[in-house]
Amino acid sequence: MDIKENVKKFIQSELVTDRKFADLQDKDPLISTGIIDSLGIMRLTAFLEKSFAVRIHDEEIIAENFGTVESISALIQKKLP
Amino acid sequence: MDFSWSEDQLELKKAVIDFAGRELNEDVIHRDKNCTFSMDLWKKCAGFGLHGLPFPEEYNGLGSDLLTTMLAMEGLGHGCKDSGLIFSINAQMWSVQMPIFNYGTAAQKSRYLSKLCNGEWIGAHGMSEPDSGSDAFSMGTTARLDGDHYILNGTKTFVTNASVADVFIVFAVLEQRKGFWGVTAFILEKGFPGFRIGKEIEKMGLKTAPMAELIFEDCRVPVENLLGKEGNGASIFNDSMECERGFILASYIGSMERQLEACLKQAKGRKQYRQPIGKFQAIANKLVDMKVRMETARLILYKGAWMRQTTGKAGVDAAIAKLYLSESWVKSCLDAIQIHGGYGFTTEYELERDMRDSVGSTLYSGTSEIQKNIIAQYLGL
Repeated sequence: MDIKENVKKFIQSELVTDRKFADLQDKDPLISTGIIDSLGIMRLTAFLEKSFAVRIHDEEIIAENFGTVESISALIQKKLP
Repeated sequence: MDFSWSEDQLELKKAVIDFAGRELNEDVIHRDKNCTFSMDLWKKCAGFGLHGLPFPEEYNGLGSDLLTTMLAMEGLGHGCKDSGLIFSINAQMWSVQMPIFNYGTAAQKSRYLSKLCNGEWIGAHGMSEPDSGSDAFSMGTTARLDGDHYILNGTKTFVTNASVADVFIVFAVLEQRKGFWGVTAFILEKGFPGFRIGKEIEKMGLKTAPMAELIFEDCRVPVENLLGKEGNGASIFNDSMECERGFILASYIGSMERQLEACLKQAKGRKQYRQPIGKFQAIANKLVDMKVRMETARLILYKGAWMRQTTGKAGVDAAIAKLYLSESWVKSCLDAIQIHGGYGFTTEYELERDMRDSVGSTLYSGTSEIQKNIIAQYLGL
């Protein structure tokens, strides 16, 4: 499974509570829709660090990096060897 | 995990206990009664090196590692009976000095951290607002960029050290963004245009630690006083909160140890029905509970510090430490009063003050209920 699919699967199973987001697309906004909030970001970063064996620094936790599945995947991709 | 201590570390703890017992306890009943913060004691602590314990020598720190810092702060709580002073020192260390050290520019560290470590300046941290406490990121304080300044508007409350502080870390939401993702941290100095200290807040305990509101009315903050990046404030806040949760209560391990020693002395010395009261199981059991809680709390504290020191994050262990240490400290105070009977209720015995001071620990840096929410999250709930 590629990065995008992994991230999408986690968000859909762990963070999405509203059924209207069941079919999450790569470019769907995650912040303005409230899918990722202040509590969800802690779980998401813990998942990303564990799943991809990367370290996400505090200064990287900004809207530009977590706005969509695509931007999250790009952040992880940059960190992989 | 390795929590074994070297001779040097144990000597440091002993030196802190001796210093605190000798220098910090005079007149504490009077200061508590009059809600007096002692600048003299603040400077004595800085002179000893307490404010700079975990920070590099280039910023007037001692360069101690985190576990050594925990041990020294434990010594402070053992020797010093002024929990308000201890709280003021810890509030500055974990929520002002640590974020400046972790996220500040070289210029910011040089200007602020050095003066905070040597006691020349006092620091305060403004996050809570009248309408946002546990839900911290729903704050109403806003910031907008205007040329080479940010303009801040809003009010912060429950700000420890506010009325005596020179430098403040303040969080605001950028107007063009929303909530968590717009939160941005700023370093303010006393005297910035549009910035003033609001009313002093009276409290049940920790009366020697001043607390007040901060008010921003078109407050002008130079762009070089941005801490971290725009929109990065929530992460800075979360990280400094992890430090607060994990380490702000280290001193109360020492306080619990001091209380236990006093209670053992009372239990062995006071006789009723022709025998020491410690021979009664009802009293002995309280002492056992105090001992078990203190030892458990100590290991939880050390584990969190070890995690942060070795991995960079204390994670769930910080929340466990905050929850368990605060609740243990309150219970220890109540047990100590009960063991001392009527004497424990008097101001002279200083246990009622400990009890009043302890209650705040279950509230500041995240209530016990919020700590449980965080721990539940780590459990995937």
